[in-house]
Amino acid sequence: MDKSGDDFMVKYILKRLLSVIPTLFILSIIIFGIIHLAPGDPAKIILGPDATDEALAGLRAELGLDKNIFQQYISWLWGAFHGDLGQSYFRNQPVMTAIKQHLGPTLVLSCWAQLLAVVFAIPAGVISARKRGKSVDSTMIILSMIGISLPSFLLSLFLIIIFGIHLGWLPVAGYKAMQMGVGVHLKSIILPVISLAGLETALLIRMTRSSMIDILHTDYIKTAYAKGMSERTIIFKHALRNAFNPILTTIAQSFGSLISGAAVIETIFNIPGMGQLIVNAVLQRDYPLIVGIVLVISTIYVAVNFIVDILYGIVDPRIRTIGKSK
Amino acid sequence: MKTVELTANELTVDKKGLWEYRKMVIREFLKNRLAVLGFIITSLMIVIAIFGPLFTSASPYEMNAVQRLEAPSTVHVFGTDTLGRDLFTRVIYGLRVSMVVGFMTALASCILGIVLGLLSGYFSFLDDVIMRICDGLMAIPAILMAIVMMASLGPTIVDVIFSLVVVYTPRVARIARAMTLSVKEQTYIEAIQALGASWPRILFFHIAPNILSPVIVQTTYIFASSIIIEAALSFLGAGVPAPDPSLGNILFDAKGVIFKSWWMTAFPGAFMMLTVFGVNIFGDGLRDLLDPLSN
Repeated sequence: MDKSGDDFMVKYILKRLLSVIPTLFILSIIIFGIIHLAPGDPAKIILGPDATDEALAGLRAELGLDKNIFQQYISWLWGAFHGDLGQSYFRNQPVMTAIKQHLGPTLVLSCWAQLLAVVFAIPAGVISARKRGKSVDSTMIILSMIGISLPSFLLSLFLIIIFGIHLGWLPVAGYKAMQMGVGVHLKSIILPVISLAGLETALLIRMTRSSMIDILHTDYIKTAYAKGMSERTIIFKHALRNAFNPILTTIAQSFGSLISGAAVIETIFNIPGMGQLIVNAVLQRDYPLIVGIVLVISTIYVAVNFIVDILYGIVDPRIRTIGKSK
Repeated sequence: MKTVELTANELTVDKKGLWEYRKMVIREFLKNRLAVLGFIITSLMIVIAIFGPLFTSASPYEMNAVQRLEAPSTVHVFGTDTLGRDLFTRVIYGLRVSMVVGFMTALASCILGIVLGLLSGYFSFLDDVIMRICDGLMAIPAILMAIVMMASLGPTIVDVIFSLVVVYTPRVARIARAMTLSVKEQTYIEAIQALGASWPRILFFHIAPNILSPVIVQTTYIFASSIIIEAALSFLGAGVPAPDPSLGNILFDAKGVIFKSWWMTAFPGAFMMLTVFGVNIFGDGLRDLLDPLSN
């Protein structure tokens, strides 16, 4: 890379950082604010209705609830920077510990689902684009529309009925980590992963298909055909490379719904991940835990999109210079 | 200078021209068979939601412990649920609740989003503030945002709608803002500004009608998504509270008996899927109609 390229790269990263940081601040304010809209006194919730006034006041002081809301926000934010998200009301452990314990299964589920989606959807989208208008394409379109209309929890219920009960092939609850053996692990997660992957696959098929169609109509692809390049070379070396951008964007942006979809699926399959954690936290009104989870997941989401943006800057030099040319 | 005078006849031709244009648009839409299917399905669901209760004499709340979890029969077309309530009736009322939530969410987020987008696009000092807040809101995944809001607000249908509106308004606002930015550069806007029109008039009478197309398309998708998210919320127990039925909370009840009673999952699930499918392909059809450049 030439020196001016390096300059652009650094400026580009800084520019992206500059827009990401306010977003993170604002989302922390929003989450904190919403939770504090909730009626009810946490001290009463924890100690129960029979607690004495002294006990309540003592607990409130301990939890820092007697300070005004700005101070509470600042001290929470300060803690968050140091990895301390406070103490869970009902779990007897720091919020961060609870999150760390439960993050694993959710991430594993999401990654498998993303992998499955990519492996199926991109070839399907490419074939659909090349055979545009024919029956293969129409079938793909309808299938992907059905996929988009099937929320993951519904798909998982249907899958459970078909595979878990009537055919009895696969377990329908519980989670076995990788350490327990790859085969066992895969068997326990195959149904949840397919349920999660369904929506993602459908979205990716549509995105891949439409970008491929756009690219296949460009002049330089037509030139490549005219030059007599083989179909394979054209598709793999040229078309896909350029279709990559919108596909990667779709993947990054659906990451958020993938993780939250995993949350719902976990409650169905009894998987000890973030989903179970947040659902229980909501039912118990465990506010520090709720706030911590949403903060962590949203931050991961913002981070993923940030990394993808930087990757664009690396892969496609034109993007780095967009700001400059204005 | 020759002045052109329009006689009454010529004015009438203009009106006919508009009608011809409308017929052409409708004809274009009808060519897209998938979109027409979507329109039919959606209308069917709306009709069922509005008039459905007329077809069933049972009440969705009437429990009957003796008849718990009966398979579909001639008496109970969809079977009964865990508390002996007629599933057919509950699904119909549940569809109505889901449609109301979807419709109100779509309407409210459409209007709010348009207003925010217009203001944001037209006044650059507001742009930064409004868009930053929208970015922050959109960084939180939809279901999580809805769960958090429901945790704060409490379980009523109105709170569900409110939570969903907060989730979806930023998305509409983004689109409205983008459109406003391009529309406000047009010469006719400049002309009206020069004539001294007030900014509310410019925004709402002149810019707004021209940003509607992509906003309306997005709103149909929001209608579909909010049905799904409401169902997910109710499925987790954080949505429409019992005993009011919604497609989601019937599935919540079905969770425990999924092994024994497939009908409790199948029927609400099928209705939900069909409705969302219909609205989605209708939305695709609208998008193809209004923006033929995106294939």
